[in-house]
Amino acid sequence: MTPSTIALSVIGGIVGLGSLLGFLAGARRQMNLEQWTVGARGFGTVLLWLLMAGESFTTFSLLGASGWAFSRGAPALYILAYLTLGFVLSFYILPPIWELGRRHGLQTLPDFFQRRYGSRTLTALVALIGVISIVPYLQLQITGLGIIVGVASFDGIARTAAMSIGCVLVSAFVFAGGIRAVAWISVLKDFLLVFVVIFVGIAIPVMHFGGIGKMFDAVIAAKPAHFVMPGSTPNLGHGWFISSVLLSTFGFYMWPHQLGACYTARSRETIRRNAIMMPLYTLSLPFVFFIGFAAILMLPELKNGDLSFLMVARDSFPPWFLGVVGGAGALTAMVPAAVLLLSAAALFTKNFFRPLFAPHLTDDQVARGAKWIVVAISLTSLGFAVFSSSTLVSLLLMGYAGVTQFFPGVIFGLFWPRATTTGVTSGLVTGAGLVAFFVLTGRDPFLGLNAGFIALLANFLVAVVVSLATPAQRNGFEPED
Amino acid sequence: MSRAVPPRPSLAALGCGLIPFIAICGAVPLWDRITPTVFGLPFNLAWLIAWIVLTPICMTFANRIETAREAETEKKGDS
Repeated sequence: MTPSTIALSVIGGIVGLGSLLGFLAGARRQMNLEQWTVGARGFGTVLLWLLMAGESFTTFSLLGASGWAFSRGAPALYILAYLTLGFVLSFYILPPIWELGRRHGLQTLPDFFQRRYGSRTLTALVALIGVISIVPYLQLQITGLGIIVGVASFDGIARTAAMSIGCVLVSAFVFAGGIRAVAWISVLKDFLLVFVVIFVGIAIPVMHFGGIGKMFDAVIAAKPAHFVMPGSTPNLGHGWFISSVLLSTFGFYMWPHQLGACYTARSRETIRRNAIMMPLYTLSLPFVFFIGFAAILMLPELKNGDLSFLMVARDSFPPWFLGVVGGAGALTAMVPAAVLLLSAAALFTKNFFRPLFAPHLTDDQVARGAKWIVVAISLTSLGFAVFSSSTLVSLLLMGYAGVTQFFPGVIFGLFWPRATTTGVTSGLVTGAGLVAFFVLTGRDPFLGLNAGFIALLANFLVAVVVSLATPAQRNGFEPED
Repeated sequence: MSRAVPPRPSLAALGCGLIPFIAICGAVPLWDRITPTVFGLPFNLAWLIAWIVLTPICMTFANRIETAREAETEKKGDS
């Protein structure tokens, strides 16, 4: 058996097992701290941490973060920063969102906008921008799957073929009736992933350098400039860091599929406690960075940083372990990808297409149409993945630039009754337009700052000025007299 | 709760949340350095890891403040 066959078989086995058990199971249960606390009697604190740490991992944190640690250096630290601060922000905005969501039956971000501002156009715009921003995020997962299959096949399977396989798998997941993950299969994936990350993150420095500290000594000596911003880039300095952290922090909960997750909480207190504890789960992320940094000396010829985690694993461990790493990574890509696909399709059909163009469609027709949209969106993402050479992190930043433009509408919607529909819409159009301009003309970063963040500032400014210039309106959350 | 619109967070609670923002974003030029290393890790990485742990501490204070404030409002509402 060739190493490639072994590795791919293990991956296939893990993914197959996960999928099979997922399909056989009952309804999807959104995993959050609450449910694990309820169902996890007898689980120690450490085990619970392992679980939640695994849940918050995505292809971005596994392959993308190590990729940027390898190729960019210190700028990659923005990931640690925004994950921490995003939870701080959630402490303040999620409880009121949750309360309003409960009271008015809101499920998604467009629902929130519709209720507060009462404009079909604005809501449709939010849905459209949401779908467009999801594409790079989806592209990231597909690219990640392609990397996993490619490296595990010892470069036997070409990247395009590997990504197409990944794309088909994810779509099949979605078509078979959405995601239905059994509780303990999620557990298995989570434990596997976190165990892999921490094990590899410690073993590699120990095996190749004699310890984590020694590894850093060696790498820093070889490339000292890499470890202070702007690292190995010409333009990702402190200004970029701060603006990108703020962009991602504000955009953290603006992804359309994320609001639904908080509605499973029992009370405001639960949400706040979640917000406090969740940063601790990102303690597993530094181990990913260790591997990216170690790869600097271990894989000096490597061009594409996103491969570093898997290549390090391939060079240091037997093929079956590579299969384990790849299998965990594959599940970590496929489940979020399926969620994203479903959300994008639902957003497009229910919140954009039907309200604007075909209000007479029944829910059934919408559901059937959504399946075709799933195919369209996944093919689009695949197309971009095949022809793009963006790093995984760059893709996510693009997505963030888009969804963060919803932040003014949300924060004003919650706390500033004077915000008007025209104001928020104008801000959103300004922000989205600027993002499109900057991204399409390759002007990111712009003047040393994250372009999406600049667009956000313009968005805020326009929203405030136009809101004050237009007549005050009824706050949709207030009860009717 | 019968209030129409959820209340804004208190200034004190916001202040607690501001601390991690300042430490992580505001102070970048101060902490973006390699030395002194902490347990072998470059200082900037160690700083951010430290704040992964310090932030929940700040937010615990914010939670105490908000919870106390809500208890106050409930009492006033009942009387």
